[in-house]
Amino acid sequence: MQTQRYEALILTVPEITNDEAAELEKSVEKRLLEHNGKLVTYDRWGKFLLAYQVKKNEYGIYFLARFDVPATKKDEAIKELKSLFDLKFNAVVMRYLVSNLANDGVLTYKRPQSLEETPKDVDQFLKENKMSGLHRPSYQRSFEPAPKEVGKIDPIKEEQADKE
Amino acid sequence: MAKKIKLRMNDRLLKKRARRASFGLRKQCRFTENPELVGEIDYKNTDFLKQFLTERGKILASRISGTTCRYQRLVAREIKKARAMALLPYNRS
Repeated sequence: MQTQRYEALILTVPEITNDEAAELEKSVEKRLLEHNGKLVTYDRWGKFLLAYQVKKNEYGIYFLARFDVPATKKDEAIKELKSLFDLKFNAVVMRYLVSNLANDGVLTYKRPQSLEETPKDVDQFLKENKMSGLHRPSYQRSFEPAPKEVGKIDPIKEEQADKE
Repeated sequence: MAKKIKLRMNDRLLKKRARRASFGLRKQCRFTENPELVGEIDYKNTDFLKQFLTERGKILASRISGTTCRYQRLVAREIKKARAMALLPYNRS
């Protein structure tokens, strides 16, 4: 039987609980199974700062579902899925977008970084990437004494020595 | 009157031709140059699509970015999809 692959990007409210998220995934899978479909992957992207306010929410959580449906029943299955988001998960799902996906089996994609993934602490980010800070070296941030530099000539002292 | 308009048109065309000549070669489309980039056009890949937006969040004209008509259509469609999902802004003030 020929199948058609689709993906659905779901934008939910930021206050969604783990139970609600699990229920959303379960019911999506159930709806698809009713129409002989199959859920391929279900990813949680995480929390995002939205480009504009949606239903008075500054933030939102994205979920990406990819699924196969038989080509003969695709319209019904997608209609059912949309009604699920519109009616049952009316309070949770703010927006969704169902789009066609190439049937070649490539499931990799690039996506923007969520707020949970972006490093908040500058020091930690620098440590992880083995970078040195731009403005203040680490010993100035804490109260540790500065490491003594050996073998370096102080330019001021050198000038004074020249004058003498 | 008609003559005047014709003169103006000629003048404008001449100016346009001079402007083009002064810039030298025509701008190159980055997708026709390396076709691997076409796979990057996706509404989820917002970091890539941001290259085709102005500071205010408008879609960059193909006359400025040099994208050919075919790929400009693809890019514009994906940007509009990303806008609908609040991944990219409609306008940024």
